[in-house]
Amino acid sequence: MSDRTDYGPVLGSGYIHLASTIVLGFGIFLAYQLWKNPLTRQVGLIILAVSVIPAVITIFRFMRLRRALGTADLDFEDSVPLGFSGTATYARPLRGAELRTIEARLQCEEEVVRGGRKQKKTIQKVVYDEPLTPSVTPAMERLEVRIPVKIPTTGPSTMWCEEAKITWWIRLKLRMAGCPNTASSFQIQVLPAVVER
Amino acid sequence: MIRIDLAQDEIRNGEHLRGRAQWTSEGKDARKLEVLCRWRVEGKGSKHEEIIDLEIDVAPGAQATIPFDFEIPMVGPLSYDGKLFRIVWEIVARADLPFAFDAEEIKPFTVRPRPYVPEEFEEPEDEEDEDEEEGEEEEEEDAGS
Repeated sequence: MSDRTDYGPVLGSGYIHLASTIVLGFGIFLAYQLWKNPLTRQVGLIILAVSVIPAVITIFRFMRLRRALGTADLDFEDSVPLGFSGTATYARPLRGAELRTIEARLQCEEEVVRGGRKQKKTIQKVVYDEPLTPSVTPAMERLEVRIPVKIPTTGPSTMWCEEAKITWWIRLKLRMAGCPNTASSFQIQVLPAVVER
Repeated sequence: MIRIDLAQDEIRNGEHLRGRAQWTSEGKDARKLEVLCRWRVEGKGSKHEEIIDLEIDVAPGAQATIPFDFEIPMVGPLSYDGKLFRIVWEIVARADLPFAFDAEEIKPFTVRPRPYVPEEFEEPEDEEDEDEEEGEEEEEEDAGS
């Protein structure tokens, strides 16, 4: 089966980036206001310098992460119908970093869009959640993880239309040494057919 | 009055659902009788529906029977009863009555997953590629002759 898109790597929680951006914006605004008065210019510069710090840290951490981890791939041996039992291989380059622990989950998510054109609201709910037991294969400058995956025979299969969606995900959380922790998410298409044993 | 008879209430994706819709007038003759196969998303605020196929009998009069044979697509979707929404498959028969509310009858059925055969779900090759291949074959034949 072909490679799947990695909806990552993600650097920590999205709120950290949001908070650092808000602090930076607030700092620029205050500095601009204080710059108008020659007596408060120095205070404005200090505020600006302090507000830049979280954004710089975030950018630095992200650069370190991108340098240490290349793009990840998730490969399946075969297509994935209902009742599938097989192994997915997660691989990604590692440069000067080391994997401490990895946590993998298989999740099925429902999504509906409610409301009219002006007040569209998307609601998501995880309807299936199972921890997976990945095994790491040691390799030089490369991370290779084999993940046994079992899709329940009762489904559901992947579907999407304008207002509703069913998606299956393999989500990974990686605790790293030598670079910030990260996460990867891969969407898998579960076919509307069942493996009969 | 409309009556829908299905050959089976459960079917697999990719199979044909056969049956018939019978219309018997209770006073007014119908101008049109239509039978359609559809699936829809049922949930709070969700109203998505897709019609798969349609059979129409124009001017059925006081009595008519429409036999139908609808193919359920391989790609589904399958019937589903989830937490946020349901996917419901149904046959809808509707009689268009003059100067009156249309008569309607709905019969739900279930679409279950078919047994997995890898070849059935292989993606078809692009037509352009096929054309190119055919072109190459023709060129080879020309060169041979």
